[in-house]
Amino acid sequence: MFGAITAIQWKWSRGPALLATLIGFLIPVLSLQSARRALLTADEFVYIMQQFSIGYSMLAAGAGLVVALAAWAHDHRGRHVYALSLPVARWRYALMRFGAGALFLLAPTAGVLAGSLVVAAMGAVPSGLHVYPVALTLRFAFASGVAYAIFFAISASTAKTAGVILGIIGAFLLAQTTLAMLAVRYDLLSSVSTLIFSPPGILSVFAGRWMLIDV
Amino acid sequence: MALTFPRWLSAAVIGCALLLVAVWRGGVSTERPPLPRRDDLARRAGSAHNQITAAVDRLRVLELRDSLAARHGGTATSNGTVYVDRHFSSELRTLFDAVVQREPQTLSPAGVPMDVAFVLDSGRAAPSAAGAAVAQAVTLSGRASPGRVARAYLLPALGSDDRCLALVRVDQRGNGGMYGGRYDLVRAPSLAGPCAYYQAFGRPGPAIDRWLRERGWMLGQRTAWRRALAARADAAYWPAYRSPFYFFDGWAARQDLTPAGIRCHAGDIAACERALFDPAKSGPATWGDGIITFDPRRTTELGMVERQLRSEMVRTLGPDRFAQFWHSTESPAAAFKTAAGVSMGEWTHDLLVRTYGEQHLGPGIETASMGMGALVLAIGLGVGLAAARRRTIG
Amino acid sequence: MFRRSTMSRGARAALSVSLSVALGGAAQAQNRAALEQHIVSLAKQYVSADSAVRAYDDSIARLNSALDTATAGAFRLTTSRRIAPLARAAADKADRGLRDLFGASTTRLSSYRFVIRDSRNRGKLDTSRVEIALSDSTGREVLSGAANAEVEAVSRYLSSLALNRLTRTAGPDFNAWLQAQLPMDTMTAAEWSKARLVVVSTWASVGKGCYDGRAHDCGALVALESTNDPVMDWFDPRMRREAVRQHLRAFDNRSETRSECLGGDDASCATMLHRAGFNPLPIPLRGSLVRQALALGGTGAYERLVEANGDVPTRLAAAARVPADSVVRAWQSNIRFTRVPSDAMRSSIAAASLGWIVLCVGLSLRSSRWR
Repeated sequence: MFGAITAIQWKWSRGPALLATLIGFLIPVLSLQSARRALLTADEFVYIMQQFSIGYSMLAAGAGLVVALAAWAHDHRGRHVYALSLPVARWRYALMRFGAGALFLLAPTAGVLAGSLVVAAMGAVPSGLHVYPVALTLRFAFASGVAYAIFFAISASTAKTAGVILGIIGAFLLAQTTLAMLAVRYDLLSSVSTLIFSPPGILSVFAGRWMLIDV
Repeated sequence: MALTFPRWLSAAVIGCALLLVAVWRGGVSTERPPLPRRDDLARRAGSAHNQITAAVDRLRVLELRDSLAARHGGTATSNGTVYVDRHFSSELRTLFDAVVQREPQTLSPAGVPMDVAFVLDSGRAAPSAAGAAVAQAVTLSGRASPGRVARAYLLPALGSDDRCLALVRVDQRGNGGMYGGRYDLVRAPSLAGPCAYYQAFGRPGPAIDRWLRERGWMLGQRTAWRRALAARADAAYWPAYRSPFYFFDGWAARQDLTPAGIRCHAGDIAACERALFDPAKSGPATWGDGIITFDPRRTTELGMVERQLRSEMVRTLGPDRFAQFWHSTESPAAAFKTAAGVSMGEWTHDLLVRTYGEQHLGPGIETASMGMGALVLAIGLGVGLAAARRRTIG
Repeated sequence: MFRRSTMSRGARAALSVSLSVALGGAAQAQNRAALEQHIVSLAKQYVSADSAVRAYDDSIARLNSALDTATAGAFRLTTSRRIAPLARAAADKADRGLRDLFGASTTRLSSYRFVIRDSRNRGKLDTSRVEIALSDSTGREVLSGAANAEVEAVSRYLSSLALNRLTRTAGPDFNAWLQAQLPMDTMTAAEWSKARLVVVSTWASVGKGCYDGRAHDCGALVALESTNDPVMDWFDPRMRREAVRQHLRAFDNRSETRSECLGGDDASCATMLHRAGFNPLPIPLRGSLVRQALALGGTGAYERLVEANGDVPTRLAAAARVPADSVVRAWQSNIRFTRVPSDAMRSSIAAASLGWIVLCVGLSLRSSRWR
């Protein structure tokens, strides 16, 4: 049954997976291309590489989101009638969905690895710096897995749950706007962002060091 | 046409190849764009002028050294004798008084006394009697800026009874304000520089002395070994808003340290040892048979911490163990290991960690973040399973 | 050479210490001789490098002397034959604009030559661009650049070069104060708004004082008034610390002094700011003051500014034909009260918003839930 679920889920995920794979390949190559301008010193080179961290993070989050949505979209449309009629325990069914989706994250991960290995093979790295393709790939895999788990949980829940989460995000945006209108100088979003993304924040796996090339 | 898995794979590979070609071909040249011809010529002339100015400045130091070789008079202090050029203004003489009186008393029974000479100097060697060519060359050099204060240290020669001499050259021209070099003179913790080590610990062992003259004297302008090196927290360097996608722990160190220093900071002890013992790319620490002049433009292997290393050694090891290292007849590496119990590389790594916090290399996740990520992953899976279990039709 | 210092620790009696230092006189002589030889060698290198620069300048001057010469108003031109018509047309246009502003003062340009020649790219003639340079009476180029081979572009560049020279004729004090070229236009409402933002954002206390209407603070803000120690007089300890944190990040950011300053030691902050020559005054505001003076003076203001003798306030007063204090007051009034109409809401914003609303509603209506 796992094979069947994987096959059918692949049909829904293969398009986004292809796109994510290509982007995953592109980011390391692009980062090297941006950083290899000869005028840069070694530390500037590393800083340029770090600036692509947002790209890796967004790709990991985006890949997790799309795969998670694809895992449950079809069942949501059919109101889970077919899924619930299958002769398998519900938790086992959900676990197989989760496993199948997790497999598809290997595609963008492989893209990142391929791009990183190409960068390592190019040799256009200043002396004194080293390439870390495997560490970057593992980090990306872990981050995309975390994103996938979060969105899998949200997607598996009811629309009401998703609405609640969106409502919470909207409430923060509204609060920030209200504070600004009341001339209160407090950057709520920055504080929340720091709380969430700084270690050991819930999303801190997306922030921090993403340098493919470092000292 | 269905996108079967083989087709998907082909599309991925071909797509990646096309992207690689597109990005690499559309990239920038790694060649530095050539300067306009005149700018290039002017740059070379400017560089040559800087070199001759620096060399003439060194010649000036040698002239002063020779003229001070038969110095007499002066005022005795507990550290040595102080000489002041009689042409200084009363304001500056008062300043020099304050500087000398603030100097810590470090002369030990086995120590080498330090003389201090405040010389009125505009920074340019007088046309020498050695020859018209030299005189003409000297006239081509630049003049020092008004208010400049330049320090040089003349170490005791090997096997002699020399004293250590701190030569302070002051350009009296200018508005007489307390800023710039004069303010530095007042604010600096100590005037003694390398002479403080001769005063406190006497002459170093022969291998230690060789290492100091080649490399070691670069490892510390600071002599206030009773004051701990201030920790450099990331917060002092980060702007008010810090993007978590750009700033990470260890950022402050990366601002201060060279790549070799960062590797040392991250735990590569071999990198620390190379930075400490290998000859510096910018040349030896001393010149002209034991003269030290500190050039702030000189690149350092370990960054700015390099300027505090030796005084931290004294402070953390204690004067007795440092003296054991100082007088040792072994190599510097062995002598330090004997005195401190750890290698100099390990000690330097520990110093960097104490100053800047932890440092890591390459992409990585903090342990706390990894734990939280694993927890989130487990919670996400758990919530998904629980939602599926509770689901009903309707 | 040396006198006995008045300082003493312990015994006041001067020690007559005769130190015949056995430094190895021969070794010392060898050091010095080697360094002197090195200096002679460096001098030869410097002379050679300097000669190369002069030779290059001479070669450019010879190249220029082979070109055709012409005169267009205040502009004495040296130009390649091929582009002579373009050069003359551009110079005529630039001359008309400058005479409107500077009048007879444009004769001060007579000591310069404006060189306009063909541009070459890797040895090939580039017909889309021309090289433009300003050479002094010796033929040496003092400024150079390039522009598109169009009358408008060349005219603008010539005007810019001419303005650069005319600004210098206003004297070293004025140039050191303004640190920019004389502006050729008046302030718009948007530019007054930007200047107001600079005034209220400045870290120096005189910014707020000027905005509140204190004329002396306005004069200080545009450096017409001075104080002995701006760092101490115009900043409080908290602002000094923030100035070091934000503005002295690269300079001396590794020293103990910075750490001590950020830890709360105000003396360390003052040391760093003094050493860095930190200038708390926003220099671009001075340009807006000059434009105010020129606007008040009307016709001939530029000429009066350039021809006046005296310090900066004298020149501004001559240009505006009112005392410098009045110029500052008018400037402060514009800073405070000139407003641009708010563009918080425009018809384009409304149209775009409606468009997106319609699109989103349309997409939501396509949901299978409704069909």
